[in-house]
Amino acid sequence: MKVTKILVVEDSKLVRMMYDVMLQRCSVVHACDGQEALTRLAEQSDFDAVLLDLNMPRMNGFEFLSVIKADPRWSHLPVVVVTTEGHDDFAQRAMQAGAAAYLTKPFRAETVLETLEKLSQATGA
Amino acid sequence: MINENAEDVVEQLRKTLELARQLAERLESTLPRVEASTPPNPQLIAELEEKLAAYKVDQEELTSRLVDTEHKAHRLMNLYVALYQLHESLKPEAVRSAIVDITVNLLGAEHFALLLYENDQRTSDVFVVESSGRTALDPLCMGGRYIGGDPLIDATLADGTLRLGPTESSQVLAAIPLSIQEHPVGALVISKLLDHKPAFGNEDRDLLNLLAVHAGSALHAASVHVKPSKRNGRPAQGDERGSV
Repeated sequence: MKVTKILVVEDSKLVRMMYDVMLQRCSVVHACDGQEALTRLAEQSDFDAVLLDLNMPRMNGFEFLSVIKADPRWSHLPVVVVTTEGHDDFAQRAMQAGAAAYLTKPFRAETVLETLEKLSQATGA
Repeated sequence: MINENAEDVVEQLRKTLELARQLAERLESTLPRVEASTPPNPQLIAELEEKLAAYKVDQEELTSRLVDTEHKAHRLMNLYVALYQLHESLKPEAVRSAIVDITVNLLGAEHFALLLYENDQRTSDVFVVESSGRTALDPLCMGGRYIGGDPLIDATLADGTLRLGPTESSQVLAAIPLSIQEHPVGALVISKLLDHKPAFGNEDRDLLNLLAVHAGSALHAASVHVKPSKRNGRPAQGDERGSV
């Protein structure tokens, strides 16, 4: 499955715009926090991947990850965490919670694109 | 539009690289047949081997150019996005928020402070209008004002020159001037980067220069926009310039 529709869960306007520019070949849907992201998932069921920030208001990335991995409707969705938190314990926690990859900010666009490409290959593009 | 042009160039390089790869493959498949032919043709074999070697060199060069071009395109993308965010709104709080966003998410700063002269005058007080909460500046701040004392910051506030540290007399990593037509109105001070970012890289220089040139004017434009509306007794109108 090629990654063509991505849910971006990110409270930074600048980072959301960066994703829009770098992912022009994909369909990108935005949410400003975990709560809004759950609403988007309920509205649209055909996402191929999630790009997830950790530090967000209302519902942070760990809380959101926990909810979707426990829900059979969305547990299959590969989640790439993209965060300013660079400590190993955060990365470990995210991977144990079901994240498919963990990237740190500031990021290189190439890194995000390569990660999404690997996800496509892993899910059988 | 910038990204579309960059993408076109990258796409052209990819196609050329693919063509070079196909040519090399055809040569590689042809070579064994020529080597096995009777009578043997050593001259032809040598020519084909030479061409194959040349195509492989071209492939490596094209791959390197592709990687380099993609990287440059993405650096331009960062600058475009940063510039857009700085000038998208004429609300002072939105401009300050954009500066903070760039500082954290593009430069990777953990501790920083945004200092502004009270009246755009170098003789006025310097206020800390945004900060990451806890910075190396804290001992030099009182009542929300920066009272001076860090040589790197003081020099940048005085002459509007971008300075990188640390130095013997300052632990600050960067003092980025905020200027309006070369007149300093404040500075963005970065005192610590995120732990996983050891230092500023060459790519960060473009962003630091962009902030030095544009952040001050963006803040000034926002403050000028607010003042007339307040004089008329009307609240400032929403003024987003449009979306991507």
